[in-house]
Amino acid sequence: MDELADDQLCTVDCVYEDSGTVVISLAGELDASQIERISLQLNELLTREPEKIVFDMGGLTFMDSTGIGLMIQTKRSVSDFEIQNAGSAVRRVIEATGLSAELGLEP
Amino acid sequence: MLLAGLLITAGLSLLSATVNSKNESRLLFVQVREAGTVLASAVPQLETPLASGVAFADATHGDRAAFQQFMAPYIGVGHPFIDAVLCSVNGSEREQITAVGARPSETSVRPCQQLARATAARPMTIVGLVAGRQRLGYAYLPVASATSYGIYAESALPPEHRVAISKHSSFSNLNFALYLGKEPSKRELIEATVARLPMIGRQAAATVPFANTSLTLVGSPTQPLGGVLSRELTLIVSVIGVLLSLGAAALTDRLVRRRRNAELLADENSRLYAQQRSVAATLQRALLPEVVTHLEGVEFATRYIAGTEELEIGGDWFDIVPLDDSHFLFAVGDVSGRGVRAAIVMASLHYAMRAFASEGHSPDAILNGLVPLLDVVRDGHFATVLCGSVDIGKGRLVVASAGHPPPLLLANKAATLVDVPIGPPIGVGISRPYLTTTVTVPNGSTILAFTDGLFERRGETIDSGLERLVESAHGSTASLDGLLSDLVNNLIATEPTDDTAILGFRWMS
Repeated sequence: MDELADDQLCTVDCVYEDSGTVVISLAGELDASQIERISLQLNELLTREPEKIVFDMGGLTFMDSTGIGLMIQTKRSVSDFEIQNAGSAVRRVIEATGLSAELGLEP
Repeated sequence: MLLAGLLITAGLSLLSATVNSKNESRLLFVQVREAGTVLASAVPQLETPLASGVAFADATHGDRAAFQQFMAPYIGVGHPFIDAVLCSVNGSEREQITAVGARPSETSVRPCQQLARATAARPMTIVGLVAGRQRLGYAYLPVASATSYGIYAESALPPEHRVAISKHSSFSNLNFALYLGKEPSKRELIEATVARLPMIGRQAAATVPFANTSLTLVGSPTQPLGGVLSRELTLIVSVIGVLLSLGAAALTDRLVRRRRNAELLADENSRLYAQQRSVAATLQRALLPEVVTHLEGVEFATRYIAGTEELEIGGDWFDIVPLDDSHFLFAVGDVSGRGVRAAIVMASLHYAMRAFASEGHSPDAILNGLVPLLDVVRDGHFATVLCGSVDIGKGRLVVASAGHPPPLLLANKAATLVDVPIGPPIGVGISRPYLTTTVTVPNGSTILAFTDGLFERRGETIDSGLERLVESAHGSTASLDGLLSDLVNNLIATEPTDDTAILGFRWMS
């Protein structure tokens, strides 16, 4: 597990905008092995009480149900929430769990 | 002329004798000093087992058996110590925990009290000659205040304090007497090669530090020490050689011991790992139903494939609840994340579902009943659940889904995914009523319900994975059990990252 290739790791980049919006860009694979680390980062970010969180999923090649849990938890912690650039793999996983509307992915 | 010659000869002889004598004295001094250095190098060899013993006691919280086992190789005839006593240290209080080897000597009836002395800057203290001067006592108490253990140990001295030096030793041409302290006092004699003390004739003494005290070595030559340069060189070379090899031996010994300790730790870790893994596996197996269900007209088969990547168990489950002779309820669920907490969530949902089922609730009502039990923000997990009720006689299936993949229907060798309305997963904080779909199937049909481990692959959409599953099942003529085996073999990697649960049932024609 210590020998994960770089593309298997999920990376997180946060950009704070003056408007109180935080854009979180996820890249790589988001699964159970990554979730603890990313949750910690996210929780720290939430303590700053951003008004809006935008997940940019453009770089995400894989996401499992733990990623969906993270989205739901985040959505419920901020007043405004948005997912951008979700690829078909991510989009379908969310659809299959019946959460597209809740996560604002309805076409 | 003659007189002058004699005088010169005498003078030269005298000079020669003086030089020789000085040379002898110098050599003796050098040799005694070197012997003392060799003796002083024995301190680490005494100190290391005691230091390791204390560290070991700390690590095992003073476990008696562990300490006895650890110290055993250092105790006994031919070993550094004859006994060792482990004491607990709490402030100024000392209490004996256990002892290894011979009984502590009577002059130190309370060996642990000797540790009171070992509070100086150095951890090892020489307590002194004890037991009628037949033993040498040591106290070892680490300086660090955090340490709560200390060791009192004794070495046996040779009978009558007499030792023999091997003929092959570099010091075989010396008689010596070794005393504790800075003075050659007979009361502090540790050992000597001669019975009569003090020795007579040419002598040299060397004092070397020995833990908190000193050792005084008095040497006397048994034969002329030389004057022959080659012999002198041989001696020095051999002394240096002995010193170097002693140092190397001590270092090797220390490294070997460290390695052994590391190996012990590694063994312990892998044992704990295996234990934890087996506890997790046992827990998971206990939570999954054995398929003891025998209902007229339908057969069951299940598979559970654990992901190998992680130590932690997953939260997948399946269940079959017979309701009466011709009705049963089935469910397959997947709690997000891994670990014991996920397994506990799984267990609570699993049993709640059984309770709702036994009260005769329909699948959609059961899912509604589960909703208040879980919350991803509070519990860190949510769950997808597929729940269905089956009327065996009528070949009718009523299914509801809480964000879970649909079941696969094999009827007349054709495989199709049942179109189930997808409601929100349990625990995401969304209250939307669950809807059911009703399917009537022909005799001989098979239903497979499963978790996403069966079809989810990295680098593709789940549609591709589901399609592969449908194709793999399509046209199968295998028995139900054979079908499940085929799917597992064809679709699941040899070392899957995710867990997979599969539940299948087939109407017997």
